[in-house]
Amino acid sequence: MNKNKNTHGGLRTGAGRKVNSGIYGEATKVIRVPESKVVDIQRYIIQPQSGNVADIIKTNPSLSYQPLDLFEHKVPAGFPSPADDHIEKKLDLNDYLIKQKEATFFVRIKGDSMIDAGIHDNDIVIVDKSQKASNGDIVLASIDGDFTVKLLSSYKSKYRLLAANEKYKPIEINESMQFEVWGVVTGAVRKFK
Amino acid sequence: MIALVDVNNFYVSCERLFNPKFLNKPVIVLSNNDGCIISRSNEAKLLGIKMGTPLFKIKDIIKSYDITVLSSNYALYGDLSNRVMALLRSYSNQQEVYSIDECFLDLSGTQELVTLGQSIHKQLWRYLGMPVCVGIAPTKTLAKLANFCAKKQPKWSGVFDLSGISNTRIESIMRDINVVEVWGVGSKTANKLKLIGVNSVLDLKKSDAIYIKKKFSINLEKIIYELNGTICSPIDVRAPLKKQIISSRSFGHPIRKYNLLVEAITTFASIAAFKSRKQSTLAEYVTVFISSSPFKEKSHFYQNNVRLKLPYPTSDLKLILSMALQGIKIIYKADIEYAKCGVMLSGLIDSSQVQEHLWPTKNIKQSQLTQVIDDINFKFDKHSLRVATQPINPLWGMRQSKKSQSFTTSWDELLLVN
Repeated sequence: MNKNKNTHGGLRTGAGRKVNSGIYGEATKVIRVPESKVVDIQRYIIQPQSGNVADIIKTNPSLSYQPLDLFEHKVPAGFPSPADDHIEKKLDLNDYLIKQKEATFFVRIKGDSMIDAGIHDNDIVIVDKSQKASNGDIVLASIDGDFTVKLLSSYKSKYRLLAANEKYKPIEINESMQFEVWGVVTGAVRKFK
Repeated sequence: MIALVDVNNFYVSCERLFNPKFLNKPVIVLSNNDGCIISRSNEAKLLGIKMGTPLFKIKDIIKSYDITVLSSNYALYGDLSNRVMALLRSYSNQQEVYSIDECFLDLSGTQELVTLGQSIHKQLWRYLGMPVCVGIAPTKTLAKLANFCAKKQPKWSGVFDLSGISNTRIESIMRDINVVEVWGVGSKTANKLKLIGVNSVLDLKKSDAIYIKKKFSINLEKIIYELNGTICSPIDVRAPLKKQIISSRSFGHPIRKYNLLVEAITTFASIAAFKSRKQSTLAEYVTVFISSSPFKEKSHFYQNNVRLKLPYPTSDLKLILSMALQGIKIIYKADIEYAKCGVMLSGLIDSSQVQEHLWPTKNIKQSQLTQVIDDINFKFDKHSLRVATQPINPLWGMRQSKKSQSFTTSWDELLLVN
């Protein structure tokens, strides 16, 4: 009988979940938040870098008090669009042309020295400064303080800059020159109209 | 651990990115209207050119050393600053952008701090041609100090971790640094501190915080705690809301005519109202100020300002502008050569926390119009839609005779390359 007294009911040491053992590693608390913000706040808790809590809770007044005319919006009752499930996102040329946006710059081409590489006068080329140039890349380089766009040719640590037009001679880089590859040309843009 | 990352000679470094000719040469950048020196390359610093010196005072040095002089190009600096900050953001989930060229990063949880600092240093150089210094320490004040050390010691290649060295070394370093170099200690405070025998950073670190609080301020007390490794000002990731917005400029040429002042006030009111809308605040007051040149004869010096209360807190241009123009009417005096004017918005409140009037006087259509104008100006050119009295190329505009192109923000000004 005495045995039962100690083994039934009441607190038992070591039972239950451990203190601070939840996913947050600390005590948690129930709070009231706007229903429309629940997902944002959950996301914030998982990934705090995605924004400041205050910014999430601050509802945008222009959004929350948008007056709608009762008859302005028709609710279609027919067959839902079969395309709805396939909408992914709009295509953005920036995504297509730019890999590292912080290190990407646009430069306008003057002249026809790269015409056989498909780069025409007045084209805009996309230059990624973060990329390491290798043999055969089209690069933006500076020679003695002047910029030029040319093909980089490297052989046994000897560098040459080649034009893509036979009218122009290759530029041999020698040690007396201040030479730097500024970035790699990764694309070109041209407008016809 | 906290890192302070900043770009060395930021404006000059931006100019050098698109002008390799400026590398390894003395280069200086001037303030608005080409007045004073606000950025210097190391080569220019070595020639003894000081920050803030008016250009005309060093004309001779510029000539004899063939120094490159440039007007400030804020479109370029702003864009490159955004790129720098975006790259730095990837190193930490807590970033406090402290100024156009520096930010604090929370590095807690990182083991190899020096290695991390070095990769920051390398990446910013390769990606953007920006020379940065990284100071690492337990508090912001110490991180600033570590950054100062990193700049002074070329052999550390721009990275200094104050937390990785012994206490005795820290103290010997602090002994050699003047107290005025501490973040938040101005030259006035430093002079006062010297009177009570506090000369070096170490002296301040060892001072009695309570006594300092009584004699000086609570801020200086906090600095002492921070120098001793206790965080008093944590990293603040929110951009602080501006309590007041000032838009003003010295004129490129002095002006007398009332209608030119109206043009200028219109321009500044537009800028100020736009800034207020951008940070979602409403202003209670508009202040207008004008002054003649302080360098001219004293007897003719005229300066005045007037503060007017808006009928209700607003960021609407029409209202702010009409109030500002009333203001200029009040303080304008004829026959004076004006050198500067400006508009200040104050009493700013968060637009979501405004008490609505019982009988709203607000014109909803008007604020929608302002929104549409903002949208159009964002989509197209900055000045696509503007008030008719705001000129594009004003007579009184800034003197910027040596400005480089807006290489990164205007299709018409891209770098041209053969």
